[in-house]
Amino acid sequence: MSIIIKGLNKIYPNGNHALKDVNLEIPPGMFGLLGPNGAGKSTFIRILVALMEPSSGSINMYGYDILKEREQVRKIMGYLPQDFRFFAPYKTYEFLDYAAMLSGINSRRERKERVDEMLRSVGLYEVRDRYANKLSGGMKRRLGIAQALIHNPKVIVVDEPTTGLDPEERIRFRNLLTKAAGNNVSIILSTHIVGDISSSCNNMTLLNKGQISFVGAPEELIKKAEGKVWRAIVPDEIFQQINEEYPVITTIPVANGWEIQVVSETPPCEGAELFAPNLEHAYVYFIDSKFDLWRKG
Amino acid sequence: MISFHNISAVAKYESRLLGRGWFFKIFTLLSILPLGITSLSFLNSFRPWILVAIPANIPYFNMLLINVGQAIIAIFLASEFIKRDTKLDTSEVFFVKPMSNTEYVIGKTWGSLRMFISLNFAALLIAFIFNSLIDYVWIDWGAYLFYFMAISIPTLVFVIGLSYFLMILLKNQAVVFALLLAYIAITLFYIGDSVYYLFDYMGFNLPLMKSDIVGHVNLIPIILHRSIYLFLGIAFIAMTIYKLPRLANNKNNTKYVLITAILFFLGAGVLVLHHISSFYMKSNARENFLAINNKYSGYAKIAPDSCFINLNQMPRSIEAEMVFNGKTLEGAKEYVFSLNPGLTVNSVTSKSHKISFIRDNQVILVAFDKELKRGENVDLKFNYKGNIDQNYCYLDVSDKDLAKTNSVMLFNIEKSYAFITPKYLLLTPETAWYPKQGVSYSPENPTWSQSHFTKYRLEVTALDSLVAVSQGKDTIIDGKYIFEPDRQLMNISLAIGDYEKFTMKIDTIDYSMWMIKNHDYFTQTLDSLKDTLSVVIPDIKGNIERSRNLTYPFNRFGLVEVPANFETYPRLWTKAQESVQPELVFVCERAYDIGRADIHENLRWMREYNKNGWLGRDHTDFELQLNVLRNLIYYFNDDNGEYKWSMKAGGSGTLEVIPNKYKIYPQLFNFRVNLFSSELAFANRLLEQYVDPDKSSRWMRNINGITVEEKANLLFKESSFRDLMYSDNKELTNAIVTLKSAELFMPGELKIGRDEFRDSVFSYINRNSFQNIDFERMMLHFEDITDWDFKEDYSMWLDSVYCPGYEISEPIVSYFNNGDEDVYETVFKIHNVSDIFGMLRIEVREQQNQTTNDYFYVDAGNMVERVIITNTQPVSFEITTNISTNIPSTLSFRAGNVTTVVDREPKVADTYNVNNLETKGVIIVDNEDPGFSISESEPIGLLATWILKEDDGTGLDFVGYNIWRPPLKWSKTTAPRYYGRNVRSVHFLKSGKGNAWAQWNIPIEEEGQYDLYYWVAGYDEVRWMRWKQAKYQFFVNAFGEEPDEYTLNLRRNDQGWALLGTFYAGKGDFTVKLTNNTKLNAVEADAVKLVKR
Repeated sequence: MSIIIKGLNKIYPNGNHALKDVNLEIPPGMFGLLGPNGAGKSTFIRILVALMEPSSGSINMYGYDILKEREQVRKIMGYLPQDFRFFAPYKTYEFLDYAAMLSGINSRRERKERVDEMLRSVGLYEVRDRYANKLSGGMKRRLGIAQALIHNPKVIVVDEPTTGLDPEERIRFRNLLTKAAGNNVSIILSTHIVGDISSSCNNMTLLNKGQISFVGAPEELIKKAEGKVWRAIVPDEIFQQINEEYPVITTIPVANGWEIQVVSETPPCEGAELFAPNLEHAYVYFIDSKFDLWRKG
Repeated sequence: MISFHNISAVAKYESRLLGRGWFFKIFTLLSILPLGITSLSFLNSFRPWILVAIPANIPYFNMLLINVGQAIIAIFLASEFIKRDTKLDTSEVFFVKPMSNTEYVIGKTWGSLRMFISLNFAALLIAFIFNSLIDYVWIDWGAYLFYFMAISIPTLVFVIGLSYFLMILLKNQAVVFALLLAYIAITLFYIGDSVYYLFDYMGFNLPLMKSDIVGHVNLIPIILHRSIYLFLGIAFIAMTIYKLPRLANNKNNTKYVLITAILFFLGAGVLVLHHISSFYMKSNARENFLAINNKYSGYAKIAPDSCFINLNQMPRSIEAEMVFNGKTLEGAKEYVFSLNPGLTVNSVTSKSHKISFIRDNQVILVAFDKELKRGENVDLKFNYKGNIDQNYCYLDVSDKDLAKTNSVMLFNIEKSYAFITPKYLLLTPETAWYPKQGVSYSPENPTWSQSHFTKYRLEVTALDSLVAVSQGKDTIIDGKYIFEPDRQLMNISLAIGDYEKFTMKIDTIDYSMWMIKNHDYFTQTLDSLKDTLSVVIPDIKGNIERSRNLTYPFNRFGLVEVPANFETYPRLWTKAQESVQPELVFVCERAYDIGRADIHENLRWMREYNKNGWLGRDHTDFELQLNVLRNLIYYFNDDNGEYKWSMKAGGSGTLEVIPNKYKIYPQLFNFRVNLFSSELAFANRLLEQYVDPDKSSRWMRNINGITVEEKANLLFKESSFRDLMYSDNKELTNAIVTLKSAELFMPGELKIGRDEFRDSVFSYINRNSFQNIDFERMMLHFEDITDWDFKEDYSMWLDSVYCPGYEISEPIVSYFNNGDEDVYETVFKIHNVSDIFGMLRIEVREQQNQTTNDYFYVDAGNMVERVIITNTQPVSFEITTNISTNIPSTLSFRAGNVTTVVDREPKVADTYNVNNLETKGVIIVDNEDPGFSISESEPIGLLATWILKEDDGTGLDFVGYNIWRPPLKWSKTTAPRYYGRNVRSVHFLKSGKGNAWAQWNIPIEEEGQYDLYYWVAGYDEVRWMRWKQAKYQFFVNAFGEEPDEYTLNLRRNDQGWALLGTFYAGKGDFTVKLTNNTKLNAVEADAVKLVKR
């Protein structure tokens, strides 16, 4: 079973064509949705979690048509929105209990067990009586993932979950997701942080300007960037020139200028040597507009 | 399928959120605490009697109060929910849960509702505790549930629904809040009970008071009215679900939600139409009844000699038979009777022969086979059954007055004129529960009012063990009550209820009291008085009889407790209201509307006063109880009941005196005197007003700017009595009749003296008691004894338009020592400024409380000197100008300084013609004169203008004087202290910085030195607020050049002319300008005077 998206389009009333003929199949496991700001990720996610209607196209989620069987879709889905900071005055425990109730866990005893279990698993049990608003940023995210997982959903959609978290919390959060993905669950992780994808997703897609640029494993994406990443040590004047023409990935100051990594089809300067690409290089190769222009030009 | 689990989940957490909000906590505190404190204070100090007299009022009171608060708070909290959903990103995680939009919104609604419901329960708990702590008030459990369901639930559902919907629509909480607050304010303070309570979504004005005897008399309209708001609330909630910014689980559900909303809107619309149409139908029915009365009023009638009624009480109807015997008043074949249109006539027979009849609504037109002769004896038997159509009652009362809510404090009482329920029955003559000759009220034909003293006999079979009460000696034979009045009556009434009777025979009179079982709250409290009532009651009776100059003519007197809803209205043709009947007074449930009936509280306070020594001397408890009882009994002799104050926007208000509906005076006068005139439906009223005139409440001028008598007076400038007879304004009509009554009989007083004439009137009444008297015949009798041409005056009195007016000077009193006796000569100079002659009365109050009345005529345009001679020194004078343009119409003067005169003899008491009233060289310009002008008023707000446009229909522009809130534009009021030739008025305005002014232009014909005076009226504000600077700023221009400023210190001048300065003035206009630049709250512009040196 998987999520099959066909011919998905979204045109806003102001004419903005946010999604253009998106076709995608999302298998179980961690699935990364990578794209720059404004690529249409949030629109895509909101359509996926049935908060927004597409202009056209279809989504089949584990056998349910998202347009016609929203209730069923909502039953198998957990969602953690991008901004998850401001709460009504609920206590941590209550927030989860409310989510559990609405997710269909009717039995009080079962709900209590489930809420306690989730609180323990996300490390919030000790603060269960604290008002959710008083939790730290990381704790709020953990509470967010706890509420998304509370009813053992088949599909979990997380939108930019690690933004603003410190490295420790980010790692903790990724581990939580990875653990959840182990149970034949589809986790769609929307992010613009490449590291989140590379460290946790077996499949991914690249969304750019409302269109799918790439679908596949992160390694495949990296492979596509082989021979396109160059390293060079250049003086300041050359660096300025390269920076204007090519996407420069890293710049490290050295004794006689700059050590730079550049994405380019051809050597960007004299003395440039090929460098083994990583996901970030690949992402830039596919997304960067300068490169795109240069590539087309 | 709707999941109740989801609804309860949303509700649980919504109510938790509400409970945690400061707003709700503060509201809870602010609503419950005052309710608790109020209840506590009611236990320990004066409390409204109505609150405890009718136990259902205790929960009613609390629910009304809390409902206003929660209606406001619910708006905020409900709109907050939508705002919160859009503001908080965390709400989205709930939006992706599988609940439906319907479940979500219903859950939210229920969550809010249950918090408010718990608050309501707290309010009801307070009511219950208060209820339990008063020992003579029982708990009406049904009322607790009813008021909660009828007041609170529809209000909350409507307000929450409306707020949700507006918030979804407008998406701005501040705008929604402001809009809804404005809506609440407008409905509460402006619309009120207009349009038949249609906009009263809070049930604040709706008549919801529950009688302990009959419950709610009109429950269905109440339920339908509340259903309107419940339906609208549900419709708005459904629309909110429909418009909720969340994708629905199923598109079809959205359609169903929309259909539900439409259905509920339609349902509410149907209920609105039904609600309004039911009132229109009532109004139409009344119009129809009136038209039928007018149509048949000229038909032949049979004067009754006897009426024997046999009535069976049924659970929801009556079955009756009436045997009627009478004499035809004219020869005819068809004779008209009327009977309540709700009662169906089965048959009319005469000596066992069926008589054909036509039933046209209330009218029974009995058609004999042949024409009957005038004076022929007729026996008829009417067999009828059915219920009472209350629309037929009070056809003389305007729709507006009928629709007006009967409110006491916050309690609104549904009006009812008759009761037929399985446990209670009340039928008064107004309901026409038995056939009567002729028709009822018909403005087109005064003959409708003709009544006849009739011998009645009433037999009643009551349901179960209920007790029947009526006039006359009562006997019970085989469970049947038989009433045989020993006097002839004009009407008979009947009450049946679960009564217990308290009775006592003193002298020849049976005094009784019928109270509904368990309603007795006083016998234990006034236990000391039991043995002394036989002395106390005749004593009070004697006092009342002496004060009224009439004796109580019946052998029985009874107070009968009737449901609180029983409503009566003052009538144009009699002071008697339906609550007072021969021998009986129908007093509303536990006398809730008589404050003095709160025996416990009054006695408690009496004891308190006595303990503190505030009663002069130490009283025994017996004396205190006696005082409380006397105080209550004398209420039945009071003319006025309550005062009704209504406030207009801008601070001005009006006060209305409500006649005491329990006043027993009609038992002394109206039920023994039956005066009839073919031209005047008011014939009896004219005599009644002469014998017992309404007391003029002159102090009401302070509130209304003018008295109602003066308003009536001024109407005579353009209309005759006949034209004014049927005014919609009852208070005004009453004043009109009072004035005309005084005018009608004044020539009699003039001819033979006031006391002598009044004595002859009372003697005539006593001689003709319980007889049908012809008005013209009575007047001819007075014509005989006074040598007065009644017929000549009568047509002018009835049909001419006239209203004289007088300028009256201050009196000059001179003393003459005429040998052995002292002689005081008082001279009034009077100018009749109209083109019609007029009659005046001067009441001279002399030393040792002696009074002399002096009557005289002043011809049109004449200036006269009226000389009054007395042998004791006059102290004060009161001149009654009767119907005149004078305001005030009654003027009071002090005798002032008495000059001893030795150089001439006193004049002979008479009227002498003179040439002028004022001294030569004196020019006075009053604010009523053409030379007076005022500055344009600054514009006031549109809303204020809109609201201030209220008018009493008389076209008179006087306003009351509230020194705390003077008007923002120049306004006029009247008072005796102001200067005026025949209208003593003043212009007044809120003080300012000199931006507004009043100006007097005085034409100077002769150049010379003049003293300028200003009339100081003895202003209340100057007297009361001693700390305030009381100066007026004037600008005087004697020569048409730059005006000079002058200041007048009001504190240094008593009432009268105060010298402003001396000026040399040339020919032309001399102008005096008064500005509003004063430290006082208001400035008054009255009159200026120039006196040539």
